[in-house]
Amino acid sequence: MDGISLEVPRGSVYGIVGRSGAGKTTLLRMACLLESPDSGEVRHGGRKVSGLAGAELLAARRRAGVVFQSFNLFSSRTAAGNVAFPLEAAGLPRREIRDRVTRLLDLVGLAGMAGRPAGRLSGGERQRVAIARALAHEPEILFCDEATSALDPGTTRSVLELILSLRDRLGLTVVMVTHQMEVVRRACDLVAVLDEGRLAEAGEVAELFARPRSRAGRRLVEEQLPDEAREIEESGAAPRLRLRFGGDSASRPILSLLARSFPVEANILSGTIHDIRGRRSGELVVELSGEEAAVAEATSWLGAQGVCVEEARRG
Amino acid sequence: MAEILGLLALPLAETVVMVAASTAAALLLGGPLGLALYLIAPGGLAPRPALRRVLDRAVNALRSFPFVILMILLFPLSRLVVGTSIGTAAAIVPLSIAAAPFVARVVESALAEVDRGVVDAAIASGATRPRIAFAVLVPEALPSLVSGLTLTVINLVGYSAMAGAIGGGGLGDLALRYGYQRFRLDVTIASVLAILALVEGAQYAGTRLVRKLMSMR
Repeated sequence: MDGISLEVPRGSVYGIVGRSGAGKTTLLRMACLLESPDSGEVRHGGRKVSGLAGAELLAARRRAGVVFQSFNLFSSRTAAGNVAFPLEAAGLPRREIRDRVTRLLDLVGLAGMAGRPAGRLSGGERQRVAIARALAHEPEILFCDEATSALDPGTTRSVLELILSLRDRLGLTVVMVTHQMEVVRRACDLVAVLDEGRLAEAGEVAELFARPRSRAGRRLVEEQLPDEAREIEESGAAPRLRLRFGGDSASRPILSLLARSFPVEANILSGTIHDIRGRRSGELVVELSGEEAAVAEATSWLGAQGVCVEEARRG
Repeated sequence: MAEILGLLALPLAETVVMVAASTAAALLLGGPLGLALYLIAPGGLAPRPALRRVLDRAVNALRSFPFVILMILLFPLSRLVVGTSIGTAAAIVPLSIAAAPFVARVVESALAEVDRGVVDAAIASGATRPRIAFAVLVPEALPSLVSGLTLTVINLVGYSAMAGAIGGGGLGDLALRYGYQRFRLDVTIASVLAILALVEGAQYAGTRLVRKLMSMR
């Protein structure tokens, strides 16, 4: 890891993406105080929390919840016992623990499951218990390490919805590491792309999908395309362009304007539209045919319209 | 038949006492040692690589002693602890010391089986190390600990028979002095059957307990 500096605004859902081995999990483990960085520092809500020891470290860990890919529930305990653990560890009175556990299980929609052993819960239920456990100390920050990677698509959606609703209800700040762009698209406001231990780019999610600035970012966005589309794009010899529309440019009929204003023809090879939490972002791969000069002019016009233009890869 | 049962009663009780007491003592000595081996391992909760190497060697050294030799070497210790080097009470001392390093390994490997992610979750909860050890690691490892302890009990039944041979009393003593040296084959067979019953009983109880623990998960 080298030279990564990120600031997560309070109340946001911040995604950290990258391929496996990019360093996302290491970064998260340092941020949630499971590991300490060789150099640099970690702040939670403005307080420096790296380099702490003893009671201060324990207190700082309690102010941040962590949810893991493999849930990591205590198999010797029930759902309620798992949620109670952090509270027992802090020495709270029994009565208060019981009340809080009941409230927390209710919060994650598992009110009836309190007495069920952890091993007899479904994947989605386990992650809900893990979330309740992570929230036991009413932390300001929730760290999620690939929290939905072990879940099926339907359960992934419902767990993400739970996290978003908890963010709204409890005013949480959420940091989630994931390799699933689907998760970023659905849940995150901001995103950082890591590549080989370095920060490739960071910004708004809609921006990443519309105009990825780094090679690693482009790769991740392209992976969203279905395989057949990629094959079509990569075959054939004519020059082709990848157009990414975001914000304004997504809602105007750019291609028909283009065909009317320039003596070129645009043949659409593939297209995708991402719905990023209400904001549209489109991606088209087109073949522009016509005089070379006209094609060049049309291309620069596209750029001026706020469309991100780049040469599509050729097969 | 009645005579043989009469002969068996006291030695059987002696063996049970020897095994039970030395299992308890071995657990007291070896349990914390095994926990320490786990905790101070590289990458553990409180890494102390140098100390860990020393303890590791010590455990191996103690385990490689043949029990009979260990027992003779420990006669002075037995005299110090229980006032004599002969008899059931005296045999408990070497039995405990022989079983302690075995228990330490049982505990260490049972704890090492606990998923590292579960330990991470406990750390992230802001729990202290003693709390993680006793409220997470031990309960999570309990089924493995119980099956390891079952093995310890069975080993101790075997060792206690050996202890009997050099003045420890119990079923081994009966088989050797009454059965073998007085040419009483029936007594020898009865003693061996009694030992077999103890081993079977321990294994059965251990397996049942593990199954019960697993069924509660």
